[in-house]
Amino acid sequence: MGDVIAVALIGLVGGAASGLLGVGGGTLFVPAMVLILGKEQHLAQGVSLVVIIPTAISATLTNLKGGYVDVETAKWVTPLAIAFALVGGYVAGLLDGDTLSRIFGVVVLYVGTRTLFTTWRTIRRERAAERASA
Amino acid sequence: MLPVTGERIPMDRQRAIFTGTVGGFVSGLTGIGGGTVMVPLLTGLLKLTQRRAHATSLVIVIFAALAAVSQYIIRGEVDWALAAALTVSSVVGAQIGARVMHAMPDRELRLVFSVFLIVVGVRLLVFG
Repeated sequence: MGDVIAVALIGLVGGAASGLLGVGGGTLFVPAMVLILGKEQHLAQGVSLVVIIPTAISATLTNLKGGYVDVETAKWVTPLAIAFALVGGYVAGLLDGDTLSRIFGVVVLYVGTRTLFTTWRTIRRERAAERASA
Repeated sequence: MLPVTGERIPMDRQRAIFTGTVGGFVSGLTGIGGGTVMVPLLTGLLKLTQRRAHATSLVIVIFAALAAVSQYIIRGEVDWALAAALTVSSVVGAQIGARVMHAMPDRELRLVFSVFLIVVGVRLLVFG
């Protein structure tokens, strides 16, 4: 029973994160399956990829209705993204994956931190301007 | 919520090609999903609003996951019962997430996404 509740919660939280953030949700699904459900890493990755498909379709149907999908951009970016993801996956097999991931981690951390600060500053400035004009 | 037509600007094809190439390559190289790489490229290079970037990224995610999953199915690394159980609630969660995204102002959404990037960055840095 505990496992059923855990699975339901992992799905709900992972799905919500996916719909909100525009990502697959694997970042959440994979560690949750490994750490909470005790699944093996590769199996967790396989299950995560399967779950991502209907999850992303579910959010996309709602996004399409809302008019938020930039269809033209998706048409141009998707085929190349898939082709080069396969190339990237092949190259990763030839290199030291751990080091690569860590280097990329620094880049992601930099982009995230920078976005956080610039956005935070803009929001604060706008609120201050609103208060001043009120 | 009405479709926000004013958000639309003409797409730059060269930048779209660059985004697909670099975004796809990096996500394949590091093994992280397309969305984490795609969203910042879609907002930064293609000047999509945060909301449109999230919605468009998810379309790419569908096809990227379809392309990647075959390898796992061939190797038998899919627990179908677990996948089905997770899907039941994740599909509902996705509806909630998408609706919250539609209602959230673009800047706040950007803030939430930047926190997500920081979490992913730390995870990659610590665990490789």
